[in-house]
Amino acid sequence: MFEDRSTSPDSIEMLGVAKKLDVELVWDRYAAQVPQCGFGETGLCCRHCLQGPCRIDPFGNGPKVGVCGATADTIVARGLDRTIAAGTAAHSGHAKHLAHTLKKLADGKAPDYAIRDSNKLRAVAQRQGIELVGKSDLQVAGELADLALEEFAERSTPVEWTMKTLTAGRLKKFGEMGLLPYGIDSVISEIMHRTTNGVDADPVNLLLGGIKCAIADYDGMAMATDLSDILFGTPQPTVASANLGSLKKEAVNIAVHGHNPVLSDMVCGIAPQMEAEAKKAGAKEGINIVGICCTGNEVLMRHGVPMATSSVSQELAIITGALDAMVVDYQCVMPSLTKIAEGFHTQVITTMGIAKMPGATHINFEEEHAAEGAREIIRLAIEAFKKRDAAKVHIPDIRNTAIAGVSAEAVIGILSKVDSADPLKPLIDNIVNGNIAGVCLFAGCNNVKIPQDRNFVAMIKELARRDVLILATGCASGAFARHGLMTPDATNKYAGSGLKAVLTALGNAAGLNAPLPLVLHTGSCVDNTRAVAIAVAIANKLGVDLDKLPVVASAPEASMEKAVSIGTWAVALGLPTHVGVVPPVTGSPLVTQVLTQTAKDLLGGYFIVELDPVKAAEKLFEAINERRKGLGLAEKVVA
Amino acid sequence: MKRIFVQPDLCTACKTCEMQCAIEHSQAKNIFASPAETPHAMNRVFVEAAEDRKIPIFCRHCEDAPCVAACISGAMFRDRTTDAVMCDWSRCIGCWTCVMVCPYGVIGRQLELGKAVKCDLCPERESPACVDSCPTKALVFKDVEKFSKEKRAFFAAAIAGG
Amino acid sequence: MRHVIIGASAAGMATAKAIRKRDPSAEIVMLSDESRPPYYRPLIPYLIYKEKTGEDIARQACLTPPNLDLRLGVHATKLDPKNHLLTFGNIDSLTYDRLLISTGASPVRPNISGLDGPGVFTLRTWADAESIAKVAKDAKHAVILGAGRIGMKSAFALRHLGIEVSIVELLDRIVPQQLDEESAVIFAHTVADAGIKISLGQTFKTINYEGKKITSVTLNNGVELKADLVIVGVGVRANLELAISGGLHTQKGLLVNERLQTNDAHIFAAGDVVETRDIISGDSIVSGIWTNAVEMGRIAGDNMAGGKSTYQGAFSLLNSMELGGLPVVSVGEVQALPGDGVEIYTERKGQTYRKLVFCGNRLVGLILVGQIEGAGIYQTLIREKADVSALRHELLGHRFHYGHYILSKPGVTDMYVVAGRIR
Repeated sequence: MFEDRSTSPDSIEMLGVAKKLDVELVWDRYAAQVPQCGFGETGLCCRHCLQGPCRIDPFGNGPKVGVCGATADTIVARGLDRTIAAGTAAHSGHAKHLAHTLKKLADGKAPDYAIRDSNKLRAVAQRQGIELVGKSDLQVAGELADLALEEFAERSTPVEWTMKTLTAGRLKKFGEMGLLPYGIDSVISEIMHRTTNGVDADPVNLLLGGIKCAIADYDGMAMATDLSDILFGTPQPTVASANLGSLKKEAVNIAVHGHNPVLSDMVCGIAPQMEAEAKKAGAKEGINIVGICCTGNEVLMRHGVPMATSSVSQELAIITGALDAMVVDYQCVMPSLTKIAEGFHTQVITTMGIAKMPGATHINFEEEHAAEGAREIIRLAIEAFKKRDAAKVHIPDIRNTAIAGVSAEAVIGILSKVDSADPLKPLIDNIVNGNIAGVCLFAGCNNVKIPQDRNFVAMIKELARRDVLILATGCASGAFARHGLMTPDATNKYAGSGLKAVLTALGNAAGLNAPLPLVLHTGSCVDNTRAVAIAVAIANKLGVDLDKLPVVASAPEASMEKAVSIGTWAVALGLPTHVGVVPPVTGSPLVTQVLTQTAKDLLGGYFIVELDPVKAAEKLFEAINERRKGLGLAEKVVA
Repeated sequence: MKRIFVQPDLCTACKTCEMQCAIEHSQAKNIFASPAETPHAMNRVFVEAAEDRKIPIFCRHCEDAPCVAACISGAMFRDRTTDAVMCDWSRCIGCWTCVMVCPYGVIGRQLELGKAVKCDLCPERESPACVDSCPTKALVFKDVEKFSKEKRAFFAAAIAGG
Repeated sequence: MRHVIIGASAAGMATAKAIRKRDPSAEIVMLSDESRPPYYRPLIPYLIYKEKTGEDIARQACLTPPNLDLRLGVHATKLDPKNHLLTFGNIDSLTYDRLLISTGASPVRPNISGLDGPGVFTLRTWADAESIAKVAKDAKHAVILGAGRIGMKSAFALRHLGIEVSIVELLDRIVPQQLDEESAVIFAHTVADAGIKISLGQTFKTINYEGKKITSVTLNNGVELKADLVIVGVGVRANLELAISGGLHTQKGLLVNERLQTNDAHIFAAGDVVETRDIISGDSIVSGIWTNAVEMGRIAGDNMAGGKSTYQGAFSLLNSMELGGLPVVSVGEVQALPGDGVEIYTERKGQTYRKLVFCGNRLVGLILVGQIEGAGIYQTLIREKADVSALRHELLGHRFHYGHYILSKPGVTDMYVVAGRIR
């Protein structure tokens, strides 16, 4: 039962509970939506002016152009650009928020925050060209924050994080192709301008504009990762747990959901101070914080907070009847949560002025009064706990260990235990000798159209046995964690002999007495840039550009606009990038061709659209071997 | 006589047919005012999904219509001119026997009025609203013999062409 | 060729229509023992409270086969198959080449003291309904025997006139043939909301009079119910007298073969008078269902005019109705119990109820209360004895539609593609 909905045992168990309670979930809402409109599916619907809405017939029998004369190519490209712009706005909104927080901290206005990683602060500042001598941490922080905020202005030079973190080769290519954005908000606004009626109708020009915006997406994300580390600590490998079994019957369960550690880290920080209050309310085990989606990743890797669930199964956390509060900020939060919470005691708490939901309790979270805000939130959760209906509590007895927090610094840290002088050497040597065929970065979401986690699990098994090193971020890591794949055990079970040998050696070097986990958890979605940092380091060491590396990316169950913008910059960076759902571009064979073929010639990276996970893994492996060949390395052969 | 023929391989499930059908059978007959009417306007054609396929389902105005045979009040009848199977709301008592026997499941219930609702081939139009509005020309309003003849010609050409 | 049809209701008219289709010039004589023009029998409850008039329930010209020699108020009394002779009235007679017996059925009159008095009615004909309407005008209390379709329809009709209505039913639930225990509970609320009182597990002991006026009814548990109007609706029995007079084979009904021929090759039968096979169980049944009568008429008429149609059998249960504004569709084996290859699936949500009865890989029974859309597709699956194993998941879901059915047929699937999919 429910095989069409999820492959995750805790989700499946809760689906049974939800069915008995007759609660409508995302899968039911999807069933009501099908068949979905083919014009939307092919990207051939345009609503950019009031002379529409226009459709172009994909079969060629009906209209071939919109009212203004836009062709299928133009309409598809414009639509894709706006998707990229939306993804960019979301990620950079997150980054912007962090920059403002850092600035407030530097100005003494946000005393509840602190510089947790002074070394990272100084390293990043220095890298970005800020003079460090004679300046206190807060002074440096202030200047870095100003620099970060300036990324969003109208500028005369390309955005700084991009210029300082990518390879020279990429920067040269982007510069030549006119793909360097000069400001994050600038390029987002430019997309909105060029895609409205009567501006840019050249599909290739539009796509290049979209790629430029995607690079701004990368820029904002890199900034977010850096600023998060500075404010909240650079992650180190942490042992935690995953699945809905992380909820505790005898504790006040609070889920942090959404994206920004500005909120979730503060909640985690304040919670220990309120244990007594929670126990007084009857919660024998005090307060239990769990994470959902990216913010869950943030506190998972910094504080070992368990990842209860993510993405498409977020509603099931409430169905357990044991969730006392779900605290959300922005992005990927389903508005249905409040409706579902009506049948339970769960308090859904929104915290951001731009992200409210009818039916939720809104507590406006301000950095200036962050601790107080966190206290108020936790207090609400403790009050809600008292209203728990024991009869409705059903926590699945399913919990997997998950090892998280393998930041670039952490990887370098472990590698330096093997070779302190040249930490990258062991990694590169093993790629050269074929113990590691290549690297695959898994990112993205779940998508209701695919049984939850099916593609992730199928692909990782195919790639791991082919000795591909696996990195994961965002809800991809959520998927792997749910199935116990972020463990040394999984390495023993699924890794090919080469990969197993390397992970074992590294694990021993790290003092684990066990191999490193099969999946190296790199962090939240903005932390996809951590994987780029490692790739850039390797590329620079090898003296080649990113588009020569045997590094590929995959979003096998992508659903959000953010996934599209990330995928686009991954392609721009030179990575063969797999998507497991069909994006709305097939209405334009030209756009489809540019994204999947021409991009390879122009940028080295390209999209691979493949719905079958096993075939997808094979195609990614083929791409890895093509890169190996290009580097003069022996192609990897697998039985 | 003419019937609506559906070419499912051209259907994009945009549901314009459903929408235009409802509009045609409303008072105001336009997308802005019709949705707010009571009794509410109902579409009589359907586009459903199964196995990732888009499946338009239309009343066939069957020669030997089970709904006409089953109707216990004489409301279902065949229009002599258009050959369409129609429901006379002055006689319909909302017993839903027609719903019970229609093999296509295309008879609906107008709940506010308690009457059976079905495709009437848009008697006041040259050709039905759904056909006129289909953006991919998946719907065709043609004489049965003509349609079959065209299909045969197409098939013959395909065979001959190899 | 002269075709004589006895009976001008569903079966008779369908027969005439089928004959006309094959043989536009054949002579068709139709006899009806009712003096009213042909009408839709299921509409007669509306006459009780004057919601409809006779004109409203009469059969329209466009639904009446042309060139019928229709003779109303004629009662056929004797049949002489050897001489192809039909006697009616006292001395009138008619010869025929082909004869259709669709004499229908009459209400069962149980042996209860006082049942034959004035003020006690059955509801089968237009005339019955008018008689009831007359008495109902001044009635204050009505008691109805039988909570089947007739009893329920009468009850709701009388409530429209503000009459206090009680129904007395022998079995343990209302509408016992069409509903199962759970759906009966749902309707019990609807019925109670309409102000109709129900006594289950009871029947009449006596109907009591004061002179010529009914005063009350005594139930067999001793309870006495005030009554100035009594309606009896406990089933019908096939009208076999004519058939028997001609020596035709009968049991519960008039026996026919697959072509709806009696044991006399020139005599066919259709409708409520016929004993036929249950299309699901194969049991021998007399089916009092309008839809079955029309189907039988169509096949009998086709064969009378030289066709070679066969009748597959009747649904013993094929009913759709609304009681108190709540619709229910009942088809096939709805009372089956689980076990021995029978699987039952039910789902209840407030006033919405679904019951699907599977036997092996076939759907054999269906009850839909409230949400009845698409019932016809389920009915088709039952009638076709289709193998529904591939459809089980969709059938149990809430979005079952014709598309699922058609895709389960091989060779059809390729027509349907997904727009825009990368292949």
